[in-house]
Amino acid sequence: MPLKLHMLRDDRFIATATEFEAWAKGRKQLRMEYFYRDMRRKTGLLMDGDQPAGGQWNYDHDNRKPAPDAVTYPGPLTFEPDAVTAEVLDLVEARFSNHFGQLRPFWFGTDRDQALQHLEHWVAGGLPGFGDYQDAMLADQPFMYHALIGLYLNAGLLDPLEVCQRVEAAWKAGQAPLNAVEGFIRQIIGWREYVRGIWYREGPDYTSRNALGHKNDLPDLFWGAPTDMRCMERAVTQTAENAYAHHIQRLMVTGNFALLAGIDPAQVQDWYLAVYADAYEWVEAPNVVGMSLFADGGIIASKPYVSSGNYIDRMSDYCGDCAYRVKDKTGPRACPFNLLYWHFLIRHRDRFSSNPRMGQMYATWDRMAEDRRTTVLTEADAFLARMQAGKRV
Amino acid sequence: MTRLVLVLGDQLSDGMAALKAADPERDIVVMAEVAEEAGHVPHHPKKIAFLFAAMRKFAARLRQRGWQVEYTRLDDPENTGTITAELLRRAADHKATGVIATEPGDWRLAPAHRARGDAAQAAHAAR
Repeated sequence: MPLKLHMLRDDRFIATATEFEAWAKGRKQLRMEYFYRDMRRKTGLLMDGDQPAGGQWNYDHDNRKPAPDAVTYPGPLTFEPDAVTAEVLDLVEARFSNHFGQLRPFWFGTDRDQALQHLEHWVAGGLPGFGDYQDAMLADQPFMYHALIGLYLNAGLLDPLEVCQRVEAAWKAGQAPLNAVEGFIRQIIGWREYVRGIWYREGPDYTSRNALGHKNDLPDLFWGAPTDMRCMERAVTQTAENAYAHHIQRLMVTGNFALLAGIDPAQVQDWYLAVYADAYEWVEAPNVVGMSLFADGGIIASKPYVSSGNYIDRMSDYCGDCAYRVKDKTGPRACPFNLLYWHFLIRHRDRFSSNPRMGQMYATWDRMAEDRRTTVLTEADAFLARMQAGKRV
Repeated sequence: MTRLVLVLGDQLSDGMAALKAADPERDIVVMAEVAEEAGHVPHHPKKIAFLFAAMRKFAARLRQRGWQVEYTRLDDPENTGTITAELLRRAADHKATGVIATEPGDWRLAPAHRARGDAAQAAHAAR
């Protein structure tokens, strides 16, 4: 007898697929900010009647401080493996030791009670600094003030609304500033719900999109092969250790590099899906295809998230110890991000030069001396050729 | 009439739609550690360990709450290696006639869900 399948909607999300479709239908651009405001109204989180708490919907301009000298949060709560977990660790060691990444020390929580303890620990110690330093990176701080909550949320051990209500309560009790609390809640009821909606709406072929026609192979440095780029080395090493890297490492270091270097989006997706413990297709694909690689042609992002080495230098302490020099725009030690930034913009000039948010970049390029422009593109080509040949870069 | 209730590794919530729609008195929860999912891409060993440990503990939690759970460990000799084959095997064992599932977060995993995705794809092509 054939098995009859009853497939039910996953109602752990705050917005239903029908609600998302109603919001998206007829809009020219699906920008997260407006969807997020609807979710604030729907949940009542950080609402003062029908107005946003504090008078603004979004405090992101407060959330871009460069890296501090010291991080006061000691990092996520760690758990000793219990008997169940210890048995699983032996199994995984026997069967999957050929996979990238270190199994031990294993410190994740593995049940709801531990996930709740993890949340309380972060709300007390991490949340207050989360907003200010959301985009900051420090070489020896894999966690900064980040919540590492996706791990537990995406497996179902925590509920998005309960997490947001806990964080809102910390603000109401005067234990965390509004910019941190709003920034966190926006990630959960705004961004997380939005990418779920995009993934569902765009369907199975979303993962095969490649609007920019990028075809280079993912270099072995993503799997731990030696690299001279300190920022990439830090992100990959920490990923191997923790199955985690924080948002700005994923977007502006590994993602930025993959985009600038023209890596095939399918290979980049497989990497993100494999190496991050919080990654499932519904959340990984929109973040990689749409947000990071612009491979959906601009459904999610209004312009590609690209930067030269300057951004990384401003937001981190990586560049001081790097074999490359971030101040060098050309030459043997020029930061590859500097070279590839222009290479990217020029090879996609037809697509992006009319984007009003990118005109300034092209104006800067056009003001550069012609021989300098030639040098930049020649050196970028040489870098990509070395990378594709499997040489250390 | 027995039905199977499918709970995937990222569906470890007490209030999953499939659990809410099922009856612990007569329906049987199916959970499985399968090679297909662990090896679809080379998942980080910490990720695999996290999910398997969390699944085993969630299965124990469901049993405490009165559910009958058929749980397949990765190294069980009978493990068929895929979610679909595990469902068919458990269905034969229990003479089950239906499966209650909650939509997965990966288009690969469910034919019925994929049909919905094909419609979305057609809609996208038409835009």
